[in-house]
Amino acid sequence: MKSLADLKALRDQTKKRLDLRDGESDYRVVVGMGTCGIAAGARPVLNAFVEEIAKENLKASVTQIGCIGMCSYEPLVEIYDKEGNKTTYVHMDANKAVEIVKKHIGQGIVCENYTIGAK
Amino acid sequence: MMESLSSTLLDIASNSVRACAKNIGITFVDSFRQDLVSLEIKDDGKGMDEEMIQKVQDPFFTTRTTRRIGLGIPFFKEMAEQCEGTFVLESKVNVGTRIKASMKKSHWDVPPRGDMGDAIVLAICMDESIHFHFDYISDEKTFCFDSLEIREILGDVSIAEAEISSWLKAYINESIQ
Ligand SMILES: Nc1ncnc2c1ncn2[C@@H]1O[C@H](COP(=O)(O)OP(=O)(O)OP(=O)(O)O)[C@@H](O)[C@H]1O
Ligand SMILES: [Mg+2]
Repeated sequence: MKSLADLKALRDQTKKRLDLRDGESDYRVVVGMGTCGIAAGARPVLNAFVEEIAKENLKASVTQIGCIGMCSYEPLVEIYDKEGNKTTYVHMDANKAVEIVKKHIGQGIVCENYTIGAK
Repeated sequence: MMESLSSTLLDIASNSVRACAKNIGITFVDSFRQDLVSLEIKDDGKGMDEEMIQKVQDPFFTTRTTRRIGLGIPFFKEMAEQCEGTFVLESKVNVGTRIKASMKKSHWDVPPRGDMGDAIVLAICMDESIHFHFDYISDEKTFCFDSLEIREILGDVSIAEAEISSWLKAYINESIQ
């Protein structure tokens, strides 16, 4: 059974990892979590981004946003680079999220086939 | 409709976040003895006036500018009513809002719980400066989870960090089994 006492140790470990990975984020990942997004399956997409970014130890933040206004394209994810350029990925799922983390966030290659333009 | 109680909870809690609440209280009751499943979300956000309270129960109303229909509250209400339950929405401008769905646990249409730990943690991650309090009440046990207590342990580390959030999700789920 887990207890909150264990959380302190985990926190210290995480802190060490974060200190090593200095500097600001290269990418900002924004996941649409309005009613439409959640109903379409945005939760596993969000979690896949968070887990994969940590696994690959990449510099990117993941945040939630409400309805972006293109409900029929949900789950929807926007990725901003340091210069503020936006890529919009549509009809997302957890597998696509893993691929996008590896290519887009890891190597800077946009996964064109998942973007809104490809639809 | 949402596929699980946890998605419903996350969605309704996100309304509270958007209403600039500083404190959000979530109560989840799951009882065979009372034949009851209920979800209640209370906040001290900007609230709604009488007219608005009526309007938001209609799916063709929203204050969003991105879309003409709001779905969150109508889904929540529909879920309660489909399960021979009751729906309550009370709100006061500048005071806050209380929204609750109570369902008959034995009813076929009660959605599965889904991943409650995930929903609670994702709700907290929406805005870590908000104080979240979660209470779980079943026949065998009660469990409470408070974001202030967690904040104190974590200090300058965010709840959204992968290893922290996954630990907390598992911790909550283990505690409400
Ligand atoms: N806790 C709250 N406090 C204040 N206002 C609220 C609250 N919950 C809902 N509202 C108001 O009611 C409206 C309808 O809410 P509802 O969740 O049904 O739809 P929505 O949030 O607008 O869109 P979505 O379909 O993404 O949920 C909101 O736009 C907001 O103005
Ligand atoms: Mg809503």
